[in-house]
Amino acid sequence: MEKTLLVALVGMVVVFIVLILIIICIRLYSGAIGFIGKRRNGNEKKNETAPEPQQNISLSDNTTNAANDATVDNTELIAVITAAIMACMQDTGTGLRVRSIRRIGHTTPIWNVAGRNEQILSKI
Amino acid sequence: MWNEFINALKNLALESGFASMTPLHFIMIAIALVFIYLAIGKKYEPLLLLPISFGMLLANLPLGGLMHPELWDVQPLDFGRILHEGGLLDMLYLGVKLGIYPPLIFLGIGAMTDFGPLIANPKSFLLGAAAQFGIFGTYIGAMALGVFTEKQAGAIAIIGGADGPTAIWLTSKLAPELLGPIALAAYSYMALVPIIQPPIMKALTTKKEREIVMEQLRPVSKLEKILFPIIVSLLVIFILPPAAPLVGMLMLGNLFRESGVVGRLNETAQNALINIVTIFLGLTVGATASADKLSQPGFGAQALSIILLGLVAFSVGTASGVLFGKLMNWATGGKINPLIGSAGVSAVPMAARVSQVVGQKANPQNYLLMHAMGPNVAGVIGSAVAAGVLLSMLG
Repeated sequence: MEKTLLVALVGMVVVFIVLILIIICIRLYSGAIGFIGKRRNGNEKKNETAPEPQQNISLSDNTTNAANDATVDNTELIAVITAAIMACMQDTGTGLRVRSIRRIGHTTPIWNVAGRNEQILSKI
Repeated sequence: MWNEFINALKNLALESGFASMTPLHFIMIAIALVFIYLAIGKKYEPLLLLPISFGMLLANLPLGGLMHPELWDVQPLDFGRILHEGGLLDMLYLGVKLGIYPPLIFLGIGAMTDFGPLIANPKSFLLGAAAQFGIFGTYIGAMALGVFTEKQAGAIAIIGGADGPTAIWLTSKLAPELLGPIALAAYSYMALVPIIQPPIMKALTTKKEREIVMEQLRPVSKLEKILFPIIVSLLVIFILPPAAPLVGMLMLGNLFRESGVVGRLNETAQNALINIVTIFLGLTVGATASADKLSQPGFGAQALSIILLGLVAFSVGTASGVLFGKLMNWATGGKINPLIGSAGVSAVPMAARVSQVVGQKANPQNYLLMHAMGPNVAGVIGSAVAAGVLLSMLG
């Protein structure tokens, strides 16, 4: 029985140690990547000649931002939102142009939330 | 002339499978038919249960010659004899015996898995580790029963990892004689996750805890996702070499996915390859459950104990994940919903879905799915590590 408890104890300790080491590694390299990304962005901002940053995100600005920023790929998000609008409006793509995307507060009516939840629950 | 005709018919009847049927064959065929019904009628893990149950059926049709259990019961194995005398399922079983199929399935799982939520919130790894208490708790329980050897207890305990390929891989190394019942128990309980987990999750948490809304996860860069499989492979395999086949293949599959430069390989790993291996694995694992095994003294009691211990393993794993989630919730000042702890038992993505459903019942505005995917995929790595530990200590 002593050996059984030893196997269980050593097993749990090894599992925790290995996974904690992975956590440390992820923290280290994520931190390093974030730090390098920030420094690079800082340098680019200094070199920028544009007068003022726009509050609303415009499609063209985002394309360049996304290329520079290693952590956020807004081009994909913009493409998805645009596609969703097109699908909703059944627009074939003529004449509709997304000029700005802005995050708004949570104002969804309760019935919409209930409907959405029902949809999700039926899928999972 | 008439007599000759009758004799020919008689000989044909005597050489047919009907003449060689024993009551045990009937029992095994009936069990196989029940599993086929569960797979098709009830849709319990049909992708695996259907090939497993049909493999069971084929192996128990007398004189079919598809599987020869006697070739696998000798130690050391005579591979020359297996290649000369073996049937179709014997040949396919080599992939299980040599530990080839489970790592190949892990390759496909790696190609399908997004480790983004885990990289965004690495603390999830702790929940994935905590859920492995189920494995080691069951190991102690199996040894305390006194029915099983050390190796058999280790193989049964891995059911608590809720990871079919890991269970099959470790059992084929430690206790191949129990492969059939362990694989069936592991996959059956994985299918029953939505039934087993919620009562335990509700019993161990308060409504207030279940209602906690977690902060949105940060976006993860492509570089971080590419580095993850490389770093995890290096770290885990250096520390625990026996886990190399599972962790190495899992991470290779993930690198295929995240690198973005081998679309064809990624596509093959997560579709064609994993499906082909699943067919082989299911058929051959089912074929190990032959009538000869049932006639061995004590096998029935062992199989029953495995089913009960499997349930204990799953329940303890779920409970320890939730309790550790509560501990982390307390340590972070109420930022972690303990329900995501139960997803630490692998069963990807079923366990994470259960966290989502139970969380949303308490608070309809709550979306825990992505938060639960972190511990869920951490559980896959955790159970592979636990399997490596058990193999190095008991193998």
